[in-house]
Amino acid sequence: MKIKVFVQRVGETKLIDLEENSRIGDLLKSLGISPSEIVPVKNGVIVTEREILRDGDEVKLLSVVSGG
Amino acid sequence: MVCEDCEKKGVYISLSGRSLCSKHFKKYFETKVLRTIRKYDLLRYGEKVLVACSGGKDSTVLLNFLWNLVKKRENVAAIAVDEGIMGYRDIKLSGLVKFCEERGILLQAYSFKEYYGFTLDEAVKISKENNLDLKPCYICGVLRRNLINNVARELGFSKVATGHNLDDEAQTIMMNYLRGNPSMLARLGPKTGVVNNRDFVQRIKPFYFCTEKEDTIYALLNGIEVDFVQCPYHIENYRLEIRDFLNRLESIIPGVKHGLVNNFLRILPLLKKEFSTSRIECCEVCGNPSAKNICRACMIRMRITPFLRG
Repeated sequence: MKIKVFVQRVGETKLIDLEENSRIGDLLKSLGISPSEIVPVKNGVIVTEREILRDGDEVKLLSVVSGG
Repeated sequence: MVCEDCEKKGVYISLSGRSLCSKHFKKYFETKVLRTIRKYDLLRYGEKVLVACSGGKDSTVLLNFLWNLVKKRENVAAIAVDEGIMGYRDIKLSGLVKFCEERGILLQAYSFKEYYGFTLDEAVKISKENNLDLKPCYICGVLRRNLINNVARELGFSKVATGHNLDDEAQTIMMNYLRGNPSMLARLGPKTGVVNNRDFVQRIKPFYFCTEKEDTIYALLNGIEVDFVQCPYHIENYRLEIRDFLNRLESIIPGVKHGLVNNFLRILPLLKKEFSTSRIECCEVCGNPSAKNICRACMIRMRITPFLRG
């Protein structure tokens, strides 16, 4: 399945291929992002790393890091 | 994953594995902050607190939290310092001005240019051109703290609150450990600053035990904007390396940042005892409390000012 992901820290939108029933945690692993660095928002709603993804979902990974 | 308390959709999984919905996450966060305030005696009834705001989410969330907590609202005000970083702080502060106007919060706005006679950009340029070896974050940190302390004291605030969170503290502890700087470690903790010195306003960190992730979720749930505008001087910062290192470690060993901070707090009384012998002098130039005969803020001014043109 394909998931559209916006990674705020780098300001990029990517299309990621994942296995069916993958979770946000799996998506983070595939991108090499630590869960403590982001807040995942799926289709406009804040979710946890255990959230199951479906084909066509849109995910935003909001950076928790302050700008300095 | 549903909330363990009400079965609504979870927005956060705590370190112990509990899933919490937005309502129960807010309760969890607020309880944690209130416990920190009580346990470390950060703020007493009737005390006036000045919130040091950068325009970022952490300090804005803190301002919102204290504004809602303190019954006498004239006891809470915000201070914002524009250091003069082109294309950065001006953007961050515009949101803060709107935030304070909407709520009727008194915002004290200052700038390095007006207060010290030069912007941070100018100071950094002078330092580089003349090999003064003054790092941007050092200049910024020292001058910000000095300005905020002076304003807080002059306006009669007994505490300055900052939005520092568990991630910030874990990074600072690690940085000082690795640099072999125990006297700087002794200056950390939820409440800092010289006690029994009228010229020094104590600094408090109510979000001391909240992670940066928790701050962000709490901000989003309260409609506070979470942007990602990076300070241009951030790349010259050693903290960035430590932050990424700790986050990588946290994903392998969950709880490592909590462990680091909690263990540090156990040895903090010993560090304070060991390093409390340093005498507090008065700066010969400005009269502020200082460990040396000239404080660090005056030292920076004295080194930068001769190179200013016009």
